Amino acid sequence: MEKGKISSLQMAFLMYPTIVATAVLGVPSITAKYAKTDLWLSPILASLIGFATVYIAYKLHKLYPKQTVIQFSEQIIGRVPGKILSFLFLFFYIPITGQILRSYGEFIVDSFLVKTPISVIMASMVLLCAFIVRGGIEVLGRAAQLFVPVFILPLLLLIILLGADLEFKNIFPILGNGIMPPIKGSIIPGGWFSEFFLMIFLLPFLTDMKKGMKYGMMTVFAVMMTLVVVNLIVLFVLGSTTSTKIYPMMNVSRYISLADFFEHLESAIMAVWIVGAFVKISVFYYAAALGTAQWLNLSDYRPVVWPIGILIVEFSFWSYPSSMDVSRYDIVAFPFHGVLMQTIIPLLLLVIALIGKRNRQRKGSNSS
Amino acid sequence: MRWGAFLCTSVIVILIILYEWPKMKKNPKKDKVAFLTLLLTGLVLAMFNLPQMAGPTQWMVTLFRPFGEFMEK
Repeated sequence: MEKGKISSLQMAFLMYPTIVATAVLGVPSITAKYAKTDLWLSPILASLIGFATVYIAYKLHKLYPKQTVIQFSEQIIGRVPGKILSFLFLFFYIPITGQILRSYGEFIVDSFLVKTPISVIMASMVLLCAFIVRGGIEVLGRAAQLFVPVFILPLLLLIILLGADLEFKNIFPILGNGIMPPIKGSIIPGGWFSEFFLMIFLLPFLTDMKKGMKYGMMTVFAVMMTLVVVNLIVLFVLGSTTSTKIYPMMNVSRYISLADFFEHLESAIMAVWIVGAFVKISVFYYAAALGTAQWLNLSDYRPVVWPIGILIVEFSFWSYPSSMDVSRYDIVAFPFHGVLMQTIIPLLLLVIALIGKRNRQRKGSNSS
Repeated sequence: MRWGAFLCTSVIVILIILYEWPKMKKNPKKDKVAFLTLLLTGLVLAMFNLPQMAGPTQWMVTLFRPFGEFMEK
């Protein structure tokens, strides 16, 4: 179905913006609502979910190399339950792609293109992503390799340019209300970290499969460090008002004013963020298209790419009357649904697969 | 029913079929059926007033209500 191959470094480059792109934008303020000034601790706690997810995904991949979750769930729990579970996975990934697309559109409409209809912004992004998904995993990998440095560099520049505005004393008191607020704040980034399970759709196409685990873990660490740094910057600049902003990163970038020359850099942040969102939506889109084709046992996934694009745009409108509902979904449903589908169910699959394998081995040794 | 959205979707669906069909000549019948079924699903969904309609995300919010209430406290 997919004949392309990517390196594990390209996989890391694909996964990094898949988590970070939307997480740097809205999540700091949601975390701040619960964790107050300890918001920088939350990504560290949440990354435990990321490490666990990568470990589970890699172990499943070792048991069933060359197969994605849609294919091996049939082998683990039988044909009909496997099909049902795969449908649940697709029913998670296609709507969640729509939700990501909608939050991307809301951000652009909210901050910059105020008069453009949101459907135009979203449809153009889906068009772009559909072309890259049709191109296959190699195109996806190379695009990520090209774009991710463009995505990371401005984040680092931001730290330097903001040097004068940082108020380091905003960090105190550390753990003023005990450990509970940062733990509660870590539930929402935890949902984002569980998205590392998308690795399972990329791992079968690696040229160097042994490095998959190493690069996966490194990506989780890089994402965690990025989120900690971003949360700290936001905290140092905005202090206790962080939780009142929708896109704190944008507010922070408006503070930049260096030598009366570097000003209004929020447009740069937006440009960079579109690059990140592009990679993120492409990876989700790819997983959805490949998963659908494998679920239906098609000979190729390319014919379903365009129809799924339409479905993604429709899911981005479905039961979201306003942007409030989009961000509310991120708080009340996504962290739990995401962790359930991408960490807990794969863990159960792994346990069942391991028990099944041991039983088979025992039978084999008895008969011989 | 929102005619604007439905008409736009119909035009896009026709464009997709015109673009994709010649390339799918060699694919097995199953691929073509899946392709057309998914497009038809998209077309049918476009007929509804989606933003106001209860959908999968709504069901998920309902399903995870106890957790959601914990987060909104």
